Amino acid sequence: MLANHLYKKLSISHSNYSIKTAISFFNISLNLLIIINMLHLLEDAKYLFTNHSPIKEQFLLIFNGNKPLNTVSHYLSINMYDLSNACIISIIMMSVLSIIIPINWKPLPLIISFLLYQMFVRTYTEFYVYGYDSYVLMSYIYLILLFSFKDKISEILFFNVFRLHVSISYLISGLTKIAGFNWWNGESIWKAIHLYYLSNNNFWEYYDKLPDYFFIISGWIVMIVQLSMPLLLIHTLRRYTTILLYMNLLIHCFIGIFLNLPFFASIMIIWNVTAFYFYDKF
Amino acid sequence: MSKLKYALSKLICILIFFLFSYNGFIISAISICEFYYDQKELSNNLLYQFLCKLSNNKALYVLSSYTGFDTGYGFFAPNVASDCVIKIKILDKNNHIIEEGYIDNFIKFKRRESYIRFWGYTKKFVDLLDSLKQDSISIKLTDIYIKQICRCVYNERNDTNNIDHFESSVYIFDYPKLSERKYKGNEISLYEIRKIYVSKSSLQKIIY
Repeated sequence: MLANHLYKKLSISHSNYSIKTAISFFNISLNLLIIINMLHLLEDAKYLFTNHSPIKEQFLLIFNGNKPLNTVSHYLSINMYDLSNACIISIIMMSVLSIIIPINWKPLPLIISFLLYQMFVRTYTEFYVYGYDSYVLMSYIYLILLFSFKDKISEILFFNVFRLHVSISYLISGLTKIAGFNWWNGESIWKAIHLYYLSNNNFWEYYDKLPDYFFIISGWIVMIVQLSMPLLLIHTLRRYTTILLYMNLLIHCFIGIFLNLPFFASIMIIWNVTAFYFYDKF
Repeated sequence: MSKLKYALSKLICILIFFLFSYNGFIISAISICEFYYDQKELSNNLLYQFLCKLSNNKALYVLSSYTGFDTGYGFFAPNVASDCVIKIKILDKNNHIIEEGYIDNFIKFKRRESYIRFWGYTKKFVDLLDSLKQDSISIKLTDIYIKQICRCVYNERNDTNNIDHFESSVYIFDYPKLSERKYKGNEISLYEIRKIYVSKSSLQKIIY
């Protein structure tokens, strides 16, 4: 009933949208997020991504083991300490440029900011990096591909691969969650909101008042929503599955609030909205 | 020309599809195997060894790590990993404590996100609980990590003349479970997994 009502409301507003709107939304929101994140990191970046960090660059070679070190600055032997502010400001400028300039020129600032991000922020494979960074890099690649192949067929191809990527990633996540028995009895949700570094400890006293079955049910909701995300790809089932998208967005909002991962949550919201909100029959 | 462009875009699509599904499925399969089975059982398992060989492929690793496709998609799955906490005691010659506390009090960042970035690696210290991995290289890596942090703390302090050595230990941070909360309450317990003493002279040897 509710899903039907939502679908009727949405289908009217969606009929005029096309794949172009989704791409422009993706571009603008991603670049705004990167600007905010870069301004957020501006003061600490010197002590994280350069040779003045707690773990020196020379030691990272040991930690990496057999795998090759993933840093451009290492191969070029540049001292990034003096360049850190310049790097961050140029990433911000490139993001502003890629929002403003016309479509034909958009790949250029995106490629430059991809390289800068790769070189400066995501320098080491296991240190000072978390899931957010790889999502930023992947979205840069999708944007560069979508803006450089402008004909309609390849645009649809890339966009469908992007939607497959989003839905399959949730499917994998749901499958791994259902394989672990702690997700069945609510222990995992309880543990995730009580981690030392990741969880937001301002809310810890309020969790005690909630009953046990609240955590069990919320764990099952997370698993069911994530397992059924691929259903959003099927157009004929669309009127029953729009609710899934909104549930998923809600889950990510909670992740942003109750865990210390606001940037990761917002990039996942951006991915979900671009993939499934601007829906059209291609 | 347009045909060539179309073929190119098809090829890129297939490559992207291959990269994300390859990384996602393999990483989650390995994590499920390691969650349910002991390292001893897995060393005889052919399927697990095949998966490990696939994930250690150098060419695919470089390709996927430079493009960002190297993430796994098991967010907090199959199980939520514990956080490790490092405590540091700064001691003088007579073993009197000059200062002690969690590492957050010594290394100061301005933003919360920087701490999340900084502590990403400490989750690997949980591996030390596995008895088979205790003699291996992971203990040495932990020691190097702790020594580096001690050096960082030492360099930032003004009263370096009083300091004799550091006593630093890694704990697993354990909050009571959902089933235990009725009789345990909010009592947080810390389990020590590694403890080392770092002398001042060894820190001064490290030049940079």
